[in-house]
Amino acid sequence: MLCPFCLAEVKLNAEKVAGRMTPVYLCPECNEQVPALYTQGYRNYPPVVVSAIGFRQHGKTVYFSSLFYALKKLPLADYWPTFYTMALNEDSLDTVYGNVRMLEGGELPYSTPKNFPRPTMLRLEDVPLFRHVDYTLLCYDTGGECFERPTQLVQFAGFVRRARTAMLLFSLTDMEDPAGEMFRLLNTYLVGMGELGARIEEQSLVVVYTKADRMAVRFPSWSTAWHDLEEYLLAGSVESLAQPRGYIRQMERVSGRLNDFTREELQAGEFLNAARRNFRGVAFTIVSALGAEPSDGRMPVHVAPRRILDPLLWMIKWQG
Amino acid sequence: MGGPTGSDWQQVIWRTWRNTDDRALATYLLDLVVDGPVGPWPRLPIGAIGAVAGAFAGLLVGLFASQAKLLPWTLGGALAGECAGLLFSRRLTWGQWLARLSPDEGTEGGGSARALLRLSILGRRAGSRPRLSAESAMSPVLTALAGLLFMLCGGPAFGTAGVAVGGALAAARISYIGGLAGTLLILPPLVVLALLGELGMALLFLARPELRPLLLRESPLSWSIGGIVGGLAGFVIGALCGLSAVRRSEYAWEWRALWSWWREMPRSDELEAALRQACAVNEQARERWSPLLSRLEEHKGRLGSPADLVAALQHGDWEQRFIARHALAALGGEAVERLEQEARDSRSALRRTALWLLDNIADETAARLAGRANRLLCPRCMARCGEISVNMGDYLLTYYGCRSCGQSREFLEWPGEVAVVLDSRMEAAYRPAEGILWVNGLRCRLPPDAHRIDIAHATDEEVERFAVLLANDTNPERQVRYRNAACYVEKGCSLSENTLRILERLFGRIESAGP
Repeated sequence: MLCPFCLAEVKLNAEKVAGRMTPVYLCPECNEQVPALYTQGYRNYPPVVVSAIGFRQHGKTVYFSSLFYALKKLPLADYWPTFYTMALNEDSLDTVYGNVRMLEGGELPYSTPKNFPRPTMLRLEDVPLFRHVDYTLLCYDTGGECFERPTQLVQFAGFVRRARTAMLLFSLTDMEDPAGEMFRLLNTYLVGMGELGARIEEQSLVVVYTKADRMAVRFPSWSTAWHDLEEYLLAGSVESLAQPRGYIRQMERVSGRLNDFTREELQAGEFLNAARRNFRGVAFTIVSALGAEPSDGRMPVHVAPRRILDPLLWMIKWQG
Repeated sequence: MGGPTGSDWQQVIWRTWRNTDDRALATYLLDLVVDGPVGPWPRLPIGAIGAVAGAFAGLLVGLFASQAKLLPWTLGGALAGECAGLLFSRRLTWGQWLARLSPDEGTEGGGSARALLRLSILGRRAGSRPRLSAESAMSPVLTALAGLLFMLCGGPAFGTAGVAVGGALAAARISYIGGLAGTLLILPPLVVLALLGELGMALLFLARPELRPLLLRESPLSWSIGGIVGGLAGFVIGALCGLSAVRRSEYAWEWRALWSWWREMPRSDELEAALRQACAVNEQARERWSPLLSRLEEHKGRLGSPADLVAALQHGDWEQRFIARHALAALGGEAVERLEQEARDSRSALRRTALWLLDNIADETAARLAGRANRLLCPRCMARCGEISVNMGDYLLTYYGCRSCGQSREFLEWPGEVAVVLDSRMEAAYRPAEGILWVNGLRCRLPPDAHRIDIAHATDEEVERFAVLLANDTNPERQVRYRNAACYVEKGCSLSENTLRILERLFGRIESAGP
């Protein structure tokens, strides 16, 4: 069983702790109390490690905030008949609803400190893809400084080793040399994973272009040569998820177009070659976590995430 | 030798003195009872030794008065000796008696001589009131006198016993065996000498057969001579050993194990009650113990953490230790976990005390709570009181307390139905209404023991928090209860579809309630 805190494969036993008559589950490696919901539901709700990898200010924390907002506030349950999400412990509840309140209040989350993060644990039940699937999301968000050097990644982002899918986030509008920086991040990741002893060939890669609502500002051809992508982004509402299979097909088409965008517009052939060579599968997505550009750390309009679930759906699809 | 046959409070004090590991406490407790008169049982051995000495004295007198009627003289002497022993011991106190029974450090011979002397009524000076402070040692002169007295009382007694031993072995054996047997009883190393003597005498008879008839005479006089010889030997050996054993006398601490070994340490509440009774009847006790008992009561009003109290069990001040012990007993179920750690550690100096305290808690909570456990609710957890078992390895500890947090001190009496209500407008932790105790679920830190959940006025977040609290509960009984429980959502409470599905997964049925 994977401990969500130290990510070691351990055997969790129920033990007595001070002040409690009923036993709790303690990890023998890190001595953290693991929620009974996680331990007792491990077989039925296997863990999916969701790790956001990207440089500073590329939208990792905002992505998670928006993801939690979407899972709790968007009426997904209206379109997926038996689907629901549930946090697994108090800390996760605090994180999820804290972010929801922040976004509802028009505020942006604070930048994440550089340390090994505590996971936000969310149960997803009955996600309707090709079949109804149940998972426990283990979401890890750490500071972008951890991905500047492989040694930092090893020290503060070791959770990436446990992910079946790596999620690399790029804010293209904040990159002067997208191709170069994309390759640098990928290279840092590959070297770090090598030092962690992980088998990259068993991982898949999802490339997430964040802050996609600002693409037109950075790329003049966005609204012309790539207008289908722009339309895809703008049409990203929860209603479109009512037909999951159709949605997945659309995601796959968009991934192909974004692959072309990466090669032709970003000139990031080296990145593409390295990705396809090292990972089992590569997919591309675009998201707009907030729906509009913030100003002075605040949202001018109500938050409206666009395509925020796409990376998660890729991960679930590849989870097997 | 049992405790006193006085009132109950004295019995409790003796039992505590007998069993406690705290020497300072034992000393102060002993002060409460040591000047009390001994009961009939300790006086019996004094009478018995007097009877033996008197029997021999009667035998000696009979030998000179009339050799044909020794038995009446012997019996008469025994009776006189027993009466003298009982008469002179009627004012014997426990302090004097315990001191008499205490051995001296040093050789066994000296210790035995002094003990025997103290056991007899004639040994009054050899025994003194027990003290912890250094007691003045017996002077050599007094030791020699003790030896002389031993010869007069103890030597003949041993000599007579030696006669009996010799007679039991073979009536035809020479009488000197009786004397040697008497000496053997005084000093075990002389067993070797006695055997060598036996061998020597056998060789002597082989060499000088004419001596045999002289020394094998079966007249009572020869037996008596044997006894006197043994007694003289005992005197010499006893005096010599006594001279070398002039040491401080321990008042009886190490010998407690012999007394009332079948009686258990009383409970802490029994000891407190006994001390209060002592204070009521004894002014000295009141001066000594009333302030401490007052401090204990004050401490019970603001009990500290179990860890602090356990640490105080090894405080340098015995009063702090006393307060810590009784405070832990008063703390009850909350102290079990910490005490269990000490009890499981075979190398812990507090193990015996911890086991005693755990037994205290088990007995006290069972007496107070067992009969009405299913009517009691813990006001902190809103869980029922119940039997809690702790496997200590070599035995099973069972006590009564809250099934969630283990505390055993305060409970609400509520035999009826308990329901949880999630209502952000409710300020109190609970309120009774319409025969149901409504528990404010938004203030629960642990899952309550409830059969029904009402959601009156709560947000999606509040409901999900409560659901997570219940879903993470590992108590199997409560898990079953909640799976079968009904959840009523008031119509005015607008919860999301996601939250309603969480509730459906958790509870047996979800129903709308209200107009």
